[in-house]
Parts: sequence; C-alpha cells; structure tokens
Amino acid sequence: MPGETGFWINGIEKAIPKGETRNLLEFLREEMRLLGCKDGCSEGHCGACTVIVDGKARLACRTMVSELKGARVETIENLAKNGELHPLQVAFSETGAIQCGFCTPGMIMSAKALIDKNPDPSEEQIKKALQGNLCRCTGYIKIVEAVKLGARYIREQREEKEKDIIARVGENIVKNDAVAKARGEPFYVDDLFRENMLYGKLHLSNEPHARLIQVDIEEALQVRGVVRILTAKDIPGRNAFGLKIPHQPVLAGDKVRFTGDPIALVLAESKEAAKEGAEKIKVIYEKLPAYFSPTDSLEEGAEKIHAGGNVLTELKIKKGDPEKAMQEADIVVEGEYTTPFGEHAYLEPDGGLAEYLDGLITVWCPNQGAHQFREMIAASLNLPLEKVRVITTKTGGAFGGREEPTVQIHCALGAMLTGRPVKIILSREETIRMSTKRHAAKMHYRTGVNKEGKIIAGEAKIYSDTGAYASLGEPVALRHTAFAMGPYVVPNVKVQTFSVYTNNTPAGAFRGFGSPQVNFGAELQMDRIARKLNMDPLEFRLKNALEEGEATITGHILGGGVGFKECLKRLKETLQKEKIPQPQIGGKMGIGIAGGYKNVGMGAGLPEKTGSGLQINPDGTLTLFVGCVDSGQGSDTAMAQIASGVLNCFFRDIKVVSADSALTPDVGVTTASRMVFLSGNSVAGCAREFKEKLIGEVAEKKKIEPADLDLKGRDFLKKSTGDRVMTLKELGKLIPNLRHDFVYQPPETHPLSLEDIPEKPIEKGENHLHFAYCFGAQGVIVEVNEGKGKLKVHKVFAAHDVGRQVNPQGVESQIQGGVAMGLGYVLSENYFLKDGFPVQNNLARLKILRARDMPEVVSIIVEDNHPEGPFGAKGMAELPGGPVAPAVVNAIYNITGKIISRLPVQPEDFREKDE
Amino acid sequence: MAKVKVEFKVNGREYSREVEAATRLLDLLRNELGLIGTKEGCGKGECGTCTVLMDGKPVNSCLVLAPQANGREILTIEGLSSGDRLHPLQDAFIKKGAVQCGYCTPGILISAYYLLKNNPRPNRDDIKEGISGNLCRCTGYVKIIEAIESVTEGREGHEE
Repeated sequence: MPGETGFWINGIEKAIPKGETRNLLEFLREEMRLLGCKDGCSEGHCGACTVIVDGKARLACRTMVSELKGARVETIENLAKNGELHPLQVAFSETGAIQCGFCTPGMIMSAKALIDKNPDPSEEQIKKALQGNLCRCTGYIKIVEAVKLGARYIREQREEKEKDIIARVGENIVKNDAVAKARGEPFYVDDLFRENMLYGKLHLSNEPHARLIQVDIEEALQVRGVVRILTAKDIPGRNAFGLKIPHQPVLAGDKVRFTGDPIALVLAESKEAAKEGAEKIKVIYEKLPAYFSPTDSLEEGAEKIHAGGNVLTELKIKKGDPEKAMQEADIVVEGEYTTPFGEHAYLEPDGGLAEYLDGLITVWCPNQGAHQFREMIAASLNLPLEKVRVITTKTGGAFGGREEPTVQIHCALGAMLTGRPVKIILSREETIRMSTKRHAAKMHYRTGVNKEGKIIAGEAKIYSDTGAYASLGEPVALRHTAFAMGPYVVPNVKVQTFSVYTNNTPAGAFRGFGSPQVNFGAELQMDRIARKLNMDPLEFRLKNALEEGEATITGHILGGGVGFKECLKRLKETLQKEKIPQPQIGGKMGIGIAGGYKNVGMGAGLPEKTGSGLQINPDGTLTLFVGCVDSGQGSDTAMAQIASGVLNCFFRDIKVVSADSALTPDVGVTTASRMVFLSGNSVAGCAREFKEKLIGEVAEKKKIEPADLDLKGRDFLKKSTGDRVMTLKELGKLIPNLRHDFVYQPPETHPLSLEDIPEKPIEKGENHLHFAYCFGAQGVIVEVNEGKGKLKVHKVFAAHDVGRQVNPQGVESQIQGGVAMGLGYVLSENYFLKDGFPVQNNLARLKILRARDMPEVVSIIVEDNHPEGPFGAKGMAELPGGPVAPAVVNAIYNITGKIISRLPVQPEDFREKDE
Repeated sequence: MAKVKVEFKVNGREYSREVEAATRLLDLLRNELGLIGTKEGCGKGECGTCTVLMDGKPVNSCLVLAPQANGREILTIEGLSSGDRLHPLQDAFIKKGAVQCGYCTPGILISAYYLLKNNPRPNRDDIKEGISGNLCRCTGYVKIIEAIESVTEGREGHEE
C-alpha cells in the first residue's frame, strides 16, 4: 500500500525510497523531472516552489519527502488536461499576468488551492492567499486580476456542466425558453419584420346587428400609402371561419352581428396610412334589433341573428328520478346565480405576419392550434392544405383566447392578393373587441339533501350567452351540463343548458371552458345546504365527494386517479394549522372553501389527435417535434423533460420545434388541459421507440447485442463493460436527420348520453365522457368590512390533484396564475357591452389584478397517479382558476350571512345598509 | 410631417435619428434602433409592458414621444445584461420560474431594476408596489415577487 510506504504525485503512485532525505522540490525536479516547480530561494521565502499537498498550498522546498506518506501532491504539470489549459492558466495568459514567468507556476498553484476551496474569492482573500509568493516583475495587480478571472471561468465551467442534466419527471427544471425571454429576445410576431412589408388595418363594424347596404372604399383608396383595400368579394374561398361551425365572416359582406365583425381590410405602406384608410371607409347599414342577453334574444318574434334562430344548442341530461328525489328530500336549496363574460387579456396583442412565396403562404402568429388555423386559412384562400404553412411564434399568453383566429386569415389573404408580406397587429382595444370571451351565464339551481347530509337530487337550468357566433359555444355548453353539480355524487339529476346567440362578442374557450360558471353555482349551493344541515362545509363535501367507483352525473363510473377526497383532507389539515391573521381593513375575518373538477382532454367521443417526432441531428443534438403550443405554460419544457428522461440524454441537447404545421404533427388544439396527457404520452412513446432505434443502429455498426447497450448523456455505453462505444454526435453523423414519429392512442371516450341514465349505473364501458379528470379544493382567508363595503382576500390555499407533477415549478406557476385569474373573476373583472361596444375596452377598465392586489398563495399538491397518464400525470392548467371565486363568496357568506349570487362581487352585495 | 432630430443615449450608446414629431419612444426603440426587447401590450400606459428607464426613471415608452427623449439616457432590457452575462435579476427570474409567456418580462425586469436601485432592501409590500404598474396575466406575480426578493441586498447569491 502506497499509503504506508509511498505517496501520489499528480495521481501517480510513487514509493518513498528508504532513507530518503531530499525535500519535495528536489525530489520533483531530480527524481521526477517535473521542472515546473521552480527553486527561487530554497529557503521558503519566495513561494516559487509552491505545490498543493492534500488540498493545501505548500512550499516544496520546506517539505521533506519522508514526511509525505499517503499524501497527494499536485504540481503545475497536472493542470492542463487533454491539451486544454486550466482556466487559471488561460486567465493568467489573457490578463498579461505573466512576465519573466519564474514565479508563475507557484503563483498559479497558490491561486488554485484558494479557488478549490472558495470559488468566488474577494480581492482581499486573493491577496492573502498569494502573500507567500513573490513577484518582482508585475507589481501583482494583473496577477490578482488573473485569479479573479480564472475563478470566474471555473464557475462558468461548472455552471455549464450543471446544465448537462438528464431531466426526470417530477424534478424542477428551468424552462428552455426562460433565458431568451428574460433577455427580451425577438420572437413574438410583432418582433418580426420583412422587407417590403405592408401593414394591415381592419375596418370593424360600427353596428352590433345590421344588414350591409353599401361599403364605400373610394375615399380610403385615395389616402397616400394605401395600396389595396379588400372586402368580402375579394375572398377567393370560403368567407367564413370557426372551429365548430364555420359561419363567422372573414370580411362581412351582407350582415354584421357584433361590433367586432371586420368589413374591410386596408393594406398600406405604413401603419399610419392603413389606420387613416380604415377610418375613411364609409358603410351604410340597415340597422336590425340587437340583443345583449339570452332573455332578449329568446323572446318570441326576436330578429334571428342566424338563419337557424337564436339557439345554438340545447342540452339535457337526466339521471335517476330527480322529480321524485327532490320531493323526498329533507332540505331543498334553491338559487339563481350569474357570472359575467371574461376577457383573457393575454399580454401580447393578437396579430400575424404572412408571406406568399412560390405559391406557398406562410403565416407566423400566436395561436393555440397551428393546423386548425391552417385549415381555416386554406379554406378562405381556396388553396390546398399543403400550400399553407402556419408557424407558431412565441405566444404571449392564450388561456383559450387564441383558439379562433382574429387577423391571421386576413394576413394570409393580403399577402396572397398583393404578393407582398403583410403584418397586422391588433391594438389592445381591437384585440378586446374582436377576440372571443368566456361565456356569461345565468344558472338556476335546486339541490335536495336528506338529513344525514347526503345529496339525493340536483337540478340546474343554465343559459349561456355565446354571443354573435358559435365559436366553441357547443362544447362549452356540454361542460356546463356535465360539470353542473360539481365533484359530488348526485344520484338523481336533471340539467338543461341553452347556449344562445346574442349580439355580444362571441364567446368561446377560456381557461375552464364552461366549468368556472357552474363551479360558482354548484359550490355556493354546497355551502348554503351545509349551513341548513348545520354541518361543516368541508365535512359535507367530504361526505358527498366523488371517488373511484362512483358515477358522475353523466353516468361515468370513475376509474383510477380521483384525488378529490385527498385534496379536501389536505386542505382541511392545512386550514386547521393556520392562524387567522389580524384584520387589515377593520373588518371581520373568515374562511371559505370550494371544490372543483375539470376534464382533461376534449373527450365526448371526439377524435383526440396526438403524436410527436424525434430526430437525431449531425451535431449530436436531438430535435423534438410537438404539436402543442407553448403559450407560457411550459409545454416545450415539459415535453423535452419527458423525452430527456426516457431517452436518458441531456435536457439541453433536445431542441423543441412546436406547432409548425409543416414540421409537427396535427395534435388538435392546445386546450382542455390535454397536452401533458396526450402529447406527453406521445413523447414518452416516441422517445422509447426512438431510443430502441438508435441503439439498434449502434448495435449493428459496432456488432454489439442491443440488449448490452444503453444511452447515457451523450454516450452509448456497453453495459457489460461500461465502455463508451459511440457518441450521439458520431451516430448523428452516420445517420443524419433520422426521424421517428409516434402516435399515441388515448383511451376511448363516449358522447354525452342523452338517454336517461339510471340512478346507480352499472359499468358497461359506456358513458366515459372523458379519459381523465383533475380535481381541486381551495380555501381562502377573507376579511369583510361591512360598514365600509370593503373586502380583502388575505391568503389562498389551493390543493390540486394533478396525477403526477412533470415540472413542479410549472405546476405551482399554473396554480398561482390560475388563482390570480380566479380572484379577478370574483373581485374585479367584468366585461359587457353598452350600445354594442365593449365598456371594458382597455386593460385598466378590465381591472386585472396587479401585484399589489395579490395575496399569498399556498399550493398543496396531491399526486393521485392516473393509470394511463404519462408517468401518472394528468394535466391541470385550467382548474386552479375555478374554485377560488365560490370560495371567496362562501367566505363572505360565512362572515356576514349574506348570499351573493353574482360575479364579480360588488360592495353593495355585502355592505351594511343604513336603516 | 416635420422631422425632428433626436440625439440620445440608449444603453450607454449614442444615437442620433430624424423622426416625425409624433413618433413614440417605443417605436423609435423598436423600429429605428431594432431594440425589440421592449414590447407593446396596450399602447395606453395601462400594462407597463413597454417600461424603460429615462434618465433613471421608469416611463411607459408608449406614452413618451421620441423628441422628449432628446438629450436623455434610456435603459432598455437589452442594456440590463452585459454581453453574455445576465443581470442577477434576470438570473433570478429564470431560476425562480418567474417567466411564463414572457411578454411582460422585459418591462417587469426594468421596473424591478429601478426598484432595487432606489431601495436595495425592499420588503414584500415595496416589491409589490414597485411592480404594480406592470400587468402579468400568467404568473399571479408570486414567483416574480420571489425572484426580486431573492436578489435584494444581503440575499444575493443565497439560494434557499
């Protein structure tokens, strides 16, 4: 053992000769011929012979070899590795810290001993560490600088190395676009510019409901800089769009149905000219009666907004015998609740840029479904699908509000008809005026319970205002219906939903997609019943909570992944430990809670497109092709994280291409919290098969059994020996751009059963409305000052069953962001029209929460793994915005006893009235 | 329209441009100087997305006319980092997950930079107030506040 008889020099074992009397300096130079160690004085005064012994700087001339048993000695010769200099050596050269060079090796070794212990030393610390080293040339200044720089290089190297991580599901990871975004780098659509580009501006309708008699563009054409003006007759294909019913005009020709309907598109050399042109367009209207609530548009004899009448859809479900059960109930609670329209208010205004080249239209834009936009653009331009490409730019928030196009068809149309690139960026006011909204709803509820506290009957009648066009009003109505009773077992149910046209802004998808409205109604009912039963609201919910084996009101007997009870229990534990804070606005303090659940995926028997692709590049990186749109929620990161983990390669070696209709698969719209489940499963499957494929290639080329091969980081390893047999880069050169695609088959779902469902359904593999649901329970601490009509939310607790977290930081972000939106829904946000125009037509009037309004949010994560989800994950992005609104209103009810039945809450709803 | 000469400094660099008198500072930065890190969210001074510092004070660059910047010094998001080295606030935003869609990020970073410059030890309420001119629709502000808090004096470099 050298430990007893020898020592190590630069990692090489060396025996200590018997009777050795030399010092280490002599030994290194004479015995080892390691001549980097200099002899300046042999007396320990100059430090030129400094080496590192057991991690400490030592003077070789003052160290006897006989004393070094078991020691580890490092000399300057050990610093450069594989032809690459040590960062300190680089720094010494770069800063000019080297003159005669005789002191340099000792100086560097002293510096290294310091930095090995302290990677970020101060100037004082450096000077102290170098005090034993003399230099007669430099005056030390550049040497100190060099050590600082070297330390920085080492830190950066380390950081760089830390980026080489294999990402695992369930671990926090920095989002792959965060650095670029924090630098404000260009990638939103308004950051794109083209030579010879035209600017577009729409002339929007000034009437909420009217026939168009004449559109006069003559004067507008005279505006200097205006190049062309397009109207309905210029559209070569279908003058209509819409995800479900394509009936919303691209440019209205005969009729307008809301004040966001575009009538003409002005294309000009500058934004200013386009704007001036749009203002000079004259339209003659024949006004029609306009309706701004379903009550009005459903009146007998009302003008038909669409040829088929003013009802978009009517849905009815019946389970058990609700009439009988309601009669038998010990307590019946009845309530009417209203919720307002909601505006997404994503921070990036909507827009697009289109280019027409060699018969191919390319549109760059934010969106939630590149392929769906492509289909609509192709139809309007009368082009085959393959002649249209939609490339999703970084999308500055979406929340459901970018599922339908606003100006993207117009950009494409302008580019095709002028041959020049066309950019249209909507102003904030236009974005608000044109884009879809959350449905306003009016809901009538009756709930019956027995005195044991079991819900036995529920009834709901819901009127949902879908505005001027269908958009996604139909599936939203489905969600109102299916989720009307909340996450509870309700054996006898009747729900009827009407989705009704009005001349309001069209309503479509918005985070929660029809569930926040009924979440509000159902959860208010729950608290009111609990009070009548004299039961704790949380216990009452626990008693009736859905769980595995129980049926939803649509007759779906739930399988695995139902974490609602766990959410309630965890919320209860947290609230019990919580100390109620001191009042801040001179009011009374109280707690309110609410539950909630939401589907994952579109379900209802609709085709759920999925898929993803992986490709190996010649530089050894991999490209992951996914169809989902990353609008900030972090899907690019989550998908790369799943791929990295399955492939066992580095996260940062995976470049993500998302939502480019020419390169990525059509996976449907990024909506319904569906992408973690569907794209996540696709990516996991694709990565598994791709890894096999890559290993197969290596096995064949190296004549090794595939079973004996694995991929780790950038290396293919032979398992039996641990040897590296090939790198990803080497393989990438051999099979450049090899791509593999995979389509995941999700579990089957079924349409909503319109036939009567028995009170206790039997599992027949039918009525699976969705393949997964996510659950949540939220609690709030609220202060109410009734005298002053003031309200303050102090703290929010949000327990969510997410199946399994992919990126915990991302999950928490979704909860916090969702809660902020939910608080806006209950406290301040509203949207309605006056005289046909939006009242809340800017971000100030929309009263979106600001940082100063934001209470503390405690996230409680429940991981009830879904059997079919990728690694058990389900998807969760929408639900956190739901329960907080009823929780706040329930808190006010608990504090004041006042029943508030509308959103947002107004001071007069709870202010003490002067008698 | 009459052209006006604007001579000013942006991120330490001198610029001289002839612009129309009604040009907004935001457009001068984005369209003329190519500094497109500054984003437009509303064009009305409501959202703070286009925040830059003018002579060290935050302004909504959509509400400032370019000629008003004559002789002034402007700091934009591009000037916050130096070369490849990010400002500690940028590092903190990245590590703490304070960036989602990213559209509000440049403006909030500038507001946060101003806050810390004038108050190196802000408490939570100071931070909230300091960024209350900036809207964010994704994060609920929680992680943004945490990120700023992590680089306040005395806490820098100390990861929990």
